[in-house]
Amino acid sequence: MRKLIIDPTVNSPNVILDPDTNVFEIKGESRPPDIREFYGQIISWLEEFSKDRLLSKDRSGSIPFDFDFEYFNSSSGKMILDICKILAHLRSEGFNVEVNWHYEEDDIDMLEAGKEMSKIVRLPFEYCQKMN
Amino acid sequence: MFYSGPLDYKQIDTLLVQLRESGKFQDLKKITGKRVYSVLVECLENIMNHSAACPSDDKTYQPQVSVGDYDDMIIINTSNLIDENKTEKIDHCLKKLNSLNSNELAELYEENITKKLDKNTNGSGLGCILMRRKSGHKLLYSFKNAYNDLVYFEIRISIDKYHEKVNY
Repeated sequence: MRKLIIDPTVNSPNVILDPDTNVFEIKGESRPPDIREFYGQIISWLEEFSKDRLLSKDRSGSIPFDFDFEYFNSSSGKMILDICKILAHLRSEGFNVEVNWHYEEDDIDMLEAGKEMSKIVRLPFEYCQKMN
Repeated sequence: MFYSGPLDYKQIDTLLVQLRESGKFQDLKKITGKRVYSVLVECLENIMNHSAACPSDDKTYQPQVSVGDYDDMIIINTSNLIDENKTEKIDHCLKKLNSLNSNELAELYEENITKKLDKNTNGSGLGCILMRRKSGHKLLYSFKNAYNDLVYFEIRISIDKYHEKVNY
């Protein structure tokens, strides 16, 4: 399956979805002008990836997914939740999905946002504090 | 920071860079700065997505945004024209948000974030919940008659400079 790489801009995050290297990461600031187009391509890719994995029946290995946001706006929050739902589905099918939610030291709101996402989709997150 | 005039994504980017680069912003505690930034983005996007066009060249009712430093508070004020028929819905929504405590706001947030993204609003309801949660204070607002069928909507969001935990 082809990887999906999106370079960061002033208002959209860096995206790396690469099954070959097993790197799945969204990093940076998220308030893209066209929220549906930006996250639509990520969600479509993940749905395809999910289908692919489910067909292969191979449950070995882990799927690490890193959310490393400096900031995301409210519309992005909805889309991040949709991504988490796909990951939760993969986990419910027996895949070892490891979600790492990064937050800056003192950014209790970002930590809280991760906890809320995790609770809503019933998917455990690992919380990774970044030092300043 | 003060800005008056039309808003598009480019202008929003410029204003956010201006905020981030200001000495006063950089002096804020990290969590306070992030809350200010977060609320300001939602305010600017709301203005861009929901403002009514001014029917004349009169600049009195142009969109306006300010971020000010007052003792132990950062205060964000925004104003813009809206259709008069939207006032009831906005008033109802903001009154409800102001009446909720922390847990109730968290429940409302969960209820809204799980809804499908509304094609017409771009999720602006969620933006107002976020503003209220980041602020911890009641959202102060008013509607002033401006033109026929148009009112000037003003909203003030206060953010504590030194309290990490928001109080409701």
